[in-house]
Amino acid sequence: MTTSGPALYFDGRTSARLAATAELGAQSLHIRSPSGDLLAEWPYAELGVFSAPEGVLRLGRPRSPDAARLEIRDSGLAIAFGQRAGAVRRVGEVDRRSRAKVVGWSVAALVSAVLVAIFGVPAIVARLTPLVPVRLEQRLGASVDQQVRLLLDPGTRERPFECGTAAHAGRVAFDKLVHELEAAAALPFPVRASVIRRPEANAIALPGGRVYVFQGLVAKANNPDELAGAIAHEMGHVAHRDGVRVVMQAAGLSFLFGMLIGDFSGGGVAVMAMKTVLQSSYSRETEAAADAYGASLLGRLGRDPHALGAILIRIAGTPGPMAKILLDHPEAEERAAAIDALARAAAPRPGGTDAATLLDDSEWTALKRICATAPQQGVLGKT
Amino acid sequence: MGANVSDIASSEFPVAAAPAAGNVAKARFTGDPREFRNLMIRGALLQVVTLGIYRFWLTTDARRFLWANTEIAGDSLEYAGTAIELFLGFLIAIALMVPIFALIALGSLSLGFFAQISGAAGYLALAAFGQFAYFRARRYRLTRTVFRGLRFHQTGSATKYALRSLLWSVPVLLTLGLAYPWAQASLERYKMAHTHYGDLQGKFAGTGTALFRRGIVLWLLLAGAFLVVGLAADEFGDAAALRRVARDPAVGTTALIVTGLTIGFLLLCALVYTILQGIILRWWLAGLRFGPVVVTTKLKKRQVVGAYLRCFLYVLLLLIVLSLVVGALAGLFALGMSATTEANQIMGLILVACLYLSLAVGSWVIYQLTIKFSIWRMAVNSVGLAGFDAIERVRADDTRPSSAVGEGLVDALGAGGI
Repeated sequence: MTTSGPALYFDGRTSARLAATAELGAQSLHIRSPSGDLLAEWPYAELGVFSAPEGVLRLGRPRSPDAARLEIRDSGLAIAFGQRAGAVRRVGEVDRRSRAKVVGWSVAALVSAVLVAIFGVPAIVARLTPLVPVRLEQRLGASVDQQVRLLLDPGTRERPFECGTAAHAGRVAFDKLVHELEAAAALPFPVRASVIRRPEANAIALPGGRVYVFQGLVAKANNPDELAGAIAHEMGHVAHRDGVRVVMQAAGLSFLFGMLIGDFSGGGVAVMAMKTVLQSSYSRETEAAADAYGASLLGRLGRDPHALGAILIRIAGTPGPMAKILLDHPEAEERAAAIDALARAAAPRPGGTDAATLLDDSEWTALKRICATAPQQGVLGKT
Repeated sequence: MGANVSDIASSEFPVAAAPAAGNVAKARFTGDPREFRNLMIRGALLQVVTLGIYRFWLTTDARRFLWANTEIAGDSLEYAGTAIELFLGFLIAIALMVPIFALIALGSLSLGFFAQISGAAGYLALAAFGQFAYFRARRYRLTRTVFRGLRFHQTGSATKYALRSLLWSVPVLLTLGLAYPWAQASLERYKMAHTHYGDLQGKFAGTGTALFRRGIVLWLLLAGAFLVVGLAADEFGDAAALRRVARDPAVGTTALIVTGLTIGFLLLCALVYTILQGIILRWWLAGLRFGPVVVTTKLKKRQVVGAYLRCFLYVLLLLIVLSLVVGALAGLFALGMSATTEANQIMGLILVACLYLSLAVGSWVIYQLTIKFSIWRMAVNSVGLAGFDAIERVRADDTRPSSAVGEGLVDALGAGGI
């Protein structure tokens, strides 16, 4: 068996390339000059294999301050070295083991982060939300309001963002409806609701108690109860302080995934996708909670909770096949069914309207025309 | 220091200087591209699985391969860094960066004056910090580069380098890039003057004027093209608006001309960019000095342009293949199933995610192979070192390997790479 052979020695003190003989001793590697002088003696225990091109065994001592190297190109000697040295510290080998750990643990970290995102973040946010000062929420609401106005329609002097001046009969009716709801709701802070000039059938609640009912929703509502149901749903968002909740949830998710996940090809989009799916799952719970609140609020006023379900079904578009998982609002039928179940459980009376109506016919007619400025009603397009 | 040799060999005449300097050593690249390709494909997939954490291991692997297969006068370089070092550097950088990012975020959330300046100030601070980190990362790489039993190392101050780079960015911006060659030369001079191989000091002999002379034609070309397109868009844009009112059928033609000119301009930009990369690389290589050792290069601009072109064509091919796959699968979906059940929707989402990932991973691998790898290989193969016998007599000095925090910062700032 080969125990010595030619090698190249770099002593770590100069850049000279020294022809040498490598001898495999019992406990250490001996490096000798061609004349037989001992140049260095490296114990096997201190040796490491360093990266080198194909066919070169490059040895050195990883803990040594200098970078002395021995290069063996003789394959017989390299094999003999492998057998003799046994458990030599291979820099690459160590890496291979740590590599498997890296892959395993980062998958574990991802699973744990996703679990925290699904269960932990909503739980933490639910406990933190009541602690957020109302004034902070209102300040947040003011800046969100600015953005919403910019985004939707800043309005003009002739056609302001909000419909109906204070003296407008429709506005008076709308305010009456809101006040009746608010009186029954007992919210942490006052609601400022208004109808805005947008054709979509929708309504939004901003942080800090601002509620915007879109003109399209007023148009689609068949009676005051349905409109009241939609406003009651938005009041649910206000009562649950969902504006703050959404901001905190988004921040939590950004922290969880943004910090953990590095910048790599496709990483940013993977994070975005994960956040979108999680946020919409949060929002399904939030909407369901607001539905329940809205239905019970209608019930407390003695109105039929089914009205909320009815208007939900009417305004529901037909979502595309891919939209369901990503859909913010759970499908209208499911939500209406949940509301019906709540209504049955809470109020034994079968959908009757035994209390006084929220608005009389003339008030309701005025409310329907709240956005009409000119003879023709409704503004469906911008000029 | 052999300054006279480097003085004779200005970057204008790199090849002519070679005979005067005595023996010339050749560099060559010995690695198998297929090995690098497999490394990259496996690494890209593992990066996806580990959400990016694997990048430290991949970077280390890639550097080991590139260094080990870079042979100068018969001896190959060695990359002695480890992935754990990079990972630690990243963690330290995160610890440093989180408060900074938090401050910037806080600044932009607060109302009024601070919100308005925090964006710009934050950007400026990050840009300067990026240069600081780049210089520190360079120090890490150099101290992890071993040749013939000796390390490279870097002295100098990262703060001074960042300041220099920040100050140079002002004239570069004000002159619309005309000052770029001098900025680049100044920064390269600083870097190379603080680069050492053992006790041999580096130097950068390339001049801004030389780079300017080679690049000015491209600058003028681009400026001219920009003016032409701008004027045309202005001219035809107005005319088109007028004619649209008059329902003139010629609107289509003018719109077509403007679109065509714009696309042509963008293609020209891409071409100029790649040629410029070739010019800069050649200028940089020919300007490198280590004591009396003069680096010469036979690199051709068209080699670099070719590398970029191959990258473009392969990515195009990947896009075509993937869109065919999408078409085929969409067809199957439409035929086979009703797209209302939840299972189908989930399948669809998974499919989209898979396609997206194959595009991201595929184009990343193509970029690494056609540009990073090829340009490294062609640069190494083009290089000769005149006066190489000086390398035989270099002595070690007592520098220690530096920490990888700089690398971590570069990574945390999203500018990491091999």
